[in-house]
Amino acid sequence: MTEALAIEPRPAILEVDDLYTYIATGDGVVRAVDGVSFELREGEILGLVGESGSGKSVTCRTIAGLMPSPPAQSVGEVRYAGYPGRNLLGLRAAEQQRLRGAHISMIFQDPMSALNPVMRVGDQIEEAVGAHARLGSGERRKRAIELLDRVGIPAPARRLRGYPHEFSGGMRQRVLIAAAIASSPRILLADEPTTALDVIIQDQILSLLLELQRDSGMSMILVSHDLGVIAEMCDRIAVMYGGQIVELADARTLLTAPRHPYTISLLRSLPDAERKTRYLESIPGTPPRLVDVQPGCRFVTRCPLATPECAVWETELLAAAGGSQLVRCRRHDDARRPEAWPKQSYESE
Amino acid sequence: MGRYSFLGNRILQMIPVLIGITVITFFLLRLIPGDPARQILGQHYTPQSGAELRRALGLDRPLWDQYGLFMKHLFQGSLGDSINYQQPTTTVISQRLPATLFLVVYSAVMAAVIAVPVGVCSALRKGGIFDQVARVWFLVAYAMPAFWLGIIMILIFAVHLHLFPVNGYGTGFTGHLRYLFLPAMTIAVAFSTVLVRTLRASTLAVLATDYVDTARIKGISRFAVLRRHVVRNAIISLVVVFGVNLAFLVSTTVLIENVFGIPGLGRLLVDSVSTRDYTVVQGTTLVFAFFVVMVNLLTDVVHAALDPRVSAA
Amino acid sequence: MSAINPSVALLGLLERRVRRRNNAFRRRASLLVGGGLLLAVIVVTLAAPLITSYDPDAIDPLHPLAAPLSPGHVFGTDSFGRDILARMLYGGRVDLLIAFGATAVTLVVGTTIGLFSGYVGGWIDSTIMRIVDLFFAFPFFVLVIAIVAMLGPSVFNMFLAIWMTSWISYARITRGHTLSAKRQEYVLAAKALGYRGRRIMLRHILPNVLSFVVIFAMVDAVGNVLLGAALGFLGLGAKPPSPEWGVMISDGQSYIFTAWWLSTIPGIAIVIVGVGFSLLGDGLADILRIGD
Repeated sequence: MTEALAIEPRPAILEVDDLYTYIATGDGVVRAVDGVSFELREGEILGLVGESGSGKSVTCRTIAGLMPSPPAQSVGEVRYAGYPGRNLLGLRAAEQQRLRGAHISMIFQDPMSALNPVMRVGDQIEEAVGAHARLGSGERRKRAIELLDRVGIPAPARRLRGYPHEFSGGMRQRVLIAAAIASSPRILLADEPTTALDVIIQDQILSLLLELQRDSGMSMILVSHDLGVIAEMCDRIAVMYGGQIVELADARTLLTAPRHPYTISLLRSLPDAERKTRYLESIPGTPPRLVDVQPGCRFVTRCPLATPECAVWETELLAAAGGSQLVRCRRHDDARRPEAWPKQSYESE
Repeated sequence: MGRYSFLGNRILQMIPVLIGITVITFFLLRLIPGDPARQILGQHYTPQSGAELRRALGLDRPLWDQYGLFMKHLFQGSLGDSINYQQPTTTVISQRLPATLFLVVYSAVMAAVIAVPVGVCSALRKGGIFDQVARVWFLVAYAMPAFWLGIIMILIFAVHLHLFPVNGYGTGFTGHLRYLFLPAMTIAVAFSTVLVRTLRASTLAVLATDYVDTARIKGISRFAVLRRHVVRNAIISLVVVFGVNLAFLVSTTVLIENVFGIPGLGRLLVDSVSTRDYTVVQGTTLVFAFFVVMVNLLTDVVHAALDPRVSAA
Repeated sequence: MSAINPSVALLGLLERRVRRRNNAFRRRASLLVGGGLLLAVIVVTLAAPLITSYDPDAIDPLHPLAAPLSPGHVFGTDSFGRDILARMLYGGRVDLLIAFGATAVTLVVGTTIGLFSGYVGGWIDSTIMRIVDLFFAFPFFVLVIAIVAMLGPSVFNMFLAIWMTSWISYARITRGHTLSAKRQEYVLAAKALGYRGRRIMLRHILPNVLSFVVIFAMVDAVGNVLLGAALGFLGLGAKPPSPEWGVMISDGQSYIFTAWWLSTIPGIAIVIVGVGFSLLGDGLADILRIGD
């Protein structure tokens, strides 16, 4: 986590403007991404945090152009500094092919299912290497070995010939990362890269990602439902709920002075070794089904600060703290005052 | 390679199956109502030849002994004698076997050639025009009697268009290819109905995987994604479904041989019914069953070759 | 306010699409069409004497090979001058009998064996399944021909042959579902309540397994119709002068250039019956899965 600079923020390398992704399913139209806007600044790590179903994965996949097109459709603008004046949502197939790998890359949650099980690992890396560079097969192989070495896989030359099921979970994720950075992308979308791994390996992978990011200066969007992971890695954090961004601020501000009741509840539900509470807090209720969405704030059924006006308020991101923090809550000032919160019956203090 | 180590086990498992096949085939002859010797010899029956046959088949001995005799003959490479051809059954069968083998392989290849593009394209544009038309076509094709389709094929392509010969086997490899084109096509149409359904389903499953997304996001061409990931993985299911439905392929081949007058085992089987050549009927049934079991083993080998996860499980 | 917000427009578009696809009629289409076709065929063949006054076996040497739509013969006549329509209607009875008769018996026998085998488990189950696997090694058609060959070609022996061999598919399906049903809670509950084995099998497991069995039976029925027609074609089941459709196709084979309708019409009829069963099966599969 970098220190907050007192100077202007770095230029944006990716701008997401009013993005909507709707998916037609048997039960109705799912509004998976419902009006999301943010920017990714050059060299930063932006965290996208939220429960499952909040739209964080779909947002990334929409940016990458990986949402299957008949059921899912998107409107909005995604602007990338490397393609000035173009909307990434409207790219033709050839342009999209040039963009992927060399400019924008992505790694996925479950490394076992993200690697082709019947193809050798070396071939899968070489495929990434050869996608944007005219190299002979010997050079491709050399580059693949370099990449495997870079991501910390021992004996890379031998392991090239292995199949994914012969690798451990952490190793597989390293392989995926190697393939993702093969063409030196400027933006990396990491969709829950550590969720499927155990805690110790998680740490290693996160360190690796941080190291790679520092060395190359690439910008990253890190998606997770784990606030701990996000807190460790990110410069700025966007909290998502019900297909929308409900809070967006730099990491320090969000973690120490959150303004959205959902963010506050999320932080409270983290187990804290210092605060001795007998019970773990959780947020009562379940996230909304994004079909037939009611107007008004989507958190209203689970929000301790909800009022009848909240249920009809047409939500928008409001600026707070001098404009550097955005909150989708009309009671965000109250949220900052502990007295405004209803007393929890089981608090031991 | 360790990958094929499971084969030893599979071959061991095959042995009781092969033995069981001999048991069932053995009992076939026992189904004959009345005096088997009289039935088998038919017009050649005399009290003397009848008694000889009864002794040769061990019909006067207990069932277990009869089976033993049957197996003894089998290990010596004999399946009895054909009454109709006055030759050992094995000779008659081995003369017809090549044509059937050729036809089965020819049809299987054709069926795959039809099924793979249709199945993959249907899945790629799921719900689209191609998919819907294909579904209707396969619905109708499945209900179509193969022998009827064969007759129509002859009518259109052999008679009216003079593109292919009406029946027979031809000589030489290219001759066979030409003569067997229509019959193989007929079988392939029927067999592909089974294959396409599976191929479509497995392609859909593959398209939904993360590794296809990983491949796409590398920036390789759409065609490369299709070839190296989608089709490559979906085809594995083809091998499996082929093995399961092999009996269907063989059955259809038997039928079509009779429509097109191909001198194969299927034709032999049906002809032998009307000539009451019981030993030949029994012999061909045995050979067919053995063939299915062997080919199933082969598909297991191919499956292991295509999918390294098979033995690791 | 200018044009519609594009997200609202998209929402509307997708919602219309979802509504169209969920149309209740569309969902039931297969079931209705399939059931309708079969019903039509059944009614028409049963009502044969009401529809045509011709005797399917009546020879008319004065009007052989009449084309369809000739006066008095909607489907024409064959080489013996027999009316094709009459032969189609009466022959249909045989084919439908095969479809239902062969399938019904194998269904009952196979399901019972499979249910029993799966429920009792142990060496009985293993033995039965070994036998089933063994039969599966034989190409079905070949085995049926062989059995018919031994017993002597006739319609009844054809039924016998099918009954002897076709039950294995039902046994395998039922046993598989019985095995997984056994582990379900409702069976454990029934056992805890002290219900006897037979009651559990019939009242609890069977209804759940039945939907899969019935759907498979539709596919099997198509197979049996094709099988019966194939044997008729080869002269190993129904034989001339029977008006069974397979026999008719065989009869018409030699006149294929001059009187194409002799073989074509029975073929089309078989396809109609087959499509009917397939659609019915698809429709049932849709409904039963939705109901689950």
